[in-house]
Amino acid sequence: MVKLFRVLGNRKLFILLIVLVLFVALMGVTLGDRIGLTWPEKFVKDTVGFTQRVVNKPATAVSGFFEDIADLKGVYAENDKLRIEVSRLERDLVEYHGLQDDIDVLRDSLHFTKNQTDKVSKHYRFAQVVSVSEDVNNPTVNIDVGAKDGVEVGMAVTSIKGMVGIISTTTDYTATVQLITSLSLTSPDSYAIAVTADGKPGTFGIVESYDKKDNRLLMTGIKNDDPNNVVKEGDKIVSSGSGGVFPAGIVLGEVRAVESSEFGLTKTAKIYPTANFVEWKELFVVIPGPEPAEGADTP
Amino acid sequence: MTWRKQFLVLLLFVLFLFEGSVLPWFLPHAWIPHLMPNLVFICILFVAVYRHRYAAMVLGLVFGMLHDVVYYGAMLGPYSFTMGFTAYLLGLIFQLPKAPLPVMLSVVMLGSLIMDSMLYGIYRVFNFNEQTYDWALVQYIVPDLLFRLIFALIVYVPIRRQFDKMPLRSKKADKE
Repeated sequence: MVKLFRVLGNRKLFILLIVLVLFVALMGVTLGDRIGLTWPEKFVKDTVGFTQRVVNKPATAVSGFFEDIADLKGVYAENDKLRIEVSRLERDLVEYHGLQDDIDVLRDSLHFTKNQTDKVSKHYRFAQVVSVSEDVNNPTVNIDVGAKDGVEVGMAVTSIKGMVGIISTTTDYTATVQLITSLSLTSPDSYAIAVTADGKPGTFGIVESYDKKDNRLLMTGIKNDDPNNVVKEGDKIVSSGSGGVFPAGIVLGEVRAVESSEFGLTKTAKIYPTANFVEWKELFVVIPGPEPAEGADTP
Repeated sequence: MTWRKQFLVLLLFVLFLFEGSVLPWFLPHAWIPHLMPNLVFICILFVAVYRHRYAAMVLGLVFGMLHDVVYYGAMLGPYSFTMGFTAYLLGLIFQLPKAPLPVMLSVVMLGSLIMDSMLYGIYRVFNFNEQTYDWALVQYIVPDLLFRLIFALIVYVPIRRQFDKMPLRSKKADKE
């Protein structure tokens, strides 16, 4: 006993133990969902975010320049392809506007509530990546839009190709995006994304974990009881909008394999994410609700 | 020469900005899932060996907390704790103002290994990852170690020169 007291009497060891306890407490307190940040955090995030933006601008310009040179070869072929795409898009756009107007009129006559329209309507807020943390356990990306631009915690973030992550914290001028590669069932701040197969109404599944070893998103709880409407390989998976967390129509990826789940009642699909998590050019924050009429929001 | 120390701390901050907002745009895409550069930590290890472990610990705590706050995804604290603790531990064992290159490089390797393993452990305890340790070892801990080793080799000469220009103070003044 006396020996034990002598060991504890060692001042440094004692301080170390106290520090350890304090840090465990800090980690525990800041874990999971927090409502807002304290002002020192906001101050540090905003000032560092600003300097990062300054440093990042020339860096992206230079790396973009080198990529442009590498892409120079394929430009002509790509241009031809894009021209055809654009003409097709313009044709489709006319049709789309017509359909959209029809839907709006029908919705009005059916007296849709604001919640119901928000579920299907969304707009994209353009954001530039200012810094990246490559931590495998906790990958995050900082973007240059924040609470002042209408960004809120829990919103989805996509690249041009598909969903990239979820906003985890916001300050006035920056926001931190947690990548969906860190989605996990056991994690304290887990999200469940209700999804459906594109073009197959009625199919339903939940994406709430990411398999880091295979690099696949796992879509669980697929019933597949309607033989005309089964989720199978090659299907494009989009968010369904039910559950109310994320608006409908955000692309997540493509089904690569469908397996029976652990208990055999439902199926689990392995989804190849269409977004790649290494090329950081521009991201879009998906904000539910119709686009505000005035302001500098890009579509 | 009184401003040299403050200037070096400022350089450390610039390095922090560099590793977050410049480096990822220039690394090959295939490397990115396997690397978390954390170059600031390597410089802090230099401080731990050639200066004093307390200075290194304080720098580790401060820059770790900066990393935690700026890249706040899951929780605050893991980086601050691991960087501070590793710097203190290695300073305690290896603090030699005249340490030659091989000693410094082994400190960098050891530090990188300890820090990544501790981070893995912390995230494991809080259920953020469910991979096995050997997978983590192959996937990012060893690549990290090699990358940091190369960085340490590059910065060894300039940092050593800066430290040689700064006179070592008496032990009492160091504790500040």
